Amino acid sequence: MNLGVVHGVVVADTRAAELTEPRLVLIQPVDEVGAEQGGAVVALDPIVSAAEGSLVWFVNGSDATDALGEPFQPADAAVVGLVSSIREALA
Amino acid sequence: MIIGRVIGRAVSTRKDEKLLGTKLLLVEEVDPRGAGSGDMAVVADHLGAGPGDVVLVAQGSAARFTAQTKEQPVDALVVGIVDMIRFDGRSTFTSADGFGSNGKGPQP
Repeated sequence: MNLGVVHGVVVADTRAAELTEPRLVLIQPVDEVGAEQGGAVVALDPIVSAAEGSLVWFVNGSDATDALGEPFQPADAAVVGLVSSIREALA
Repeated sequence: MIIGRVIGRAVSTRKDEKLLGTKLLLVEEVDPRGAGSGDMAVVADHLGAGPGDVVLVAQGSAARFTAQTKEQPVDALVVGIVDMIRFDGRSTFTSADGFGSNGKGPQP
């Protein structure tokens, strides 16, 4: 799983029939202190409906397909939770 | 998924027979403002995307979760043709105007 910040949305009306989730968000992956990690990705956001600026966690690859449930959608990234706080583990 | 710009077509006459009739596009990954990353991929397309179109590409096993690609050896698929991108509170792409105001590339 990865942390990311929601920066925007993508609208694509011409789409694969199996891609039924309407909400597509643009996520910038970040690490635990907020430093950007790699380029932005587009993820389905069926559960959280995260607002722009929200810190979320998301899954990639076949985990995203699983998270969305059946019937499977052709998507390789999905937002699965809204992060409310991050604490460092006690040593 | 990644956002990509269609820059060409890959034609293959000798290929896995499960791919017969499937269009293969050459796609460059772009960021949400339209800047190219330099990374290219050959991507299967069943939606009719063409050169210049901005598309949404699903990678890995997700590419096989459509009726057309179910049995195909593909790991990248156009799953959407992008109409609009909003990034950091402003519209960075529309299908009518492209990226930026002149449609020729990202704004400075």
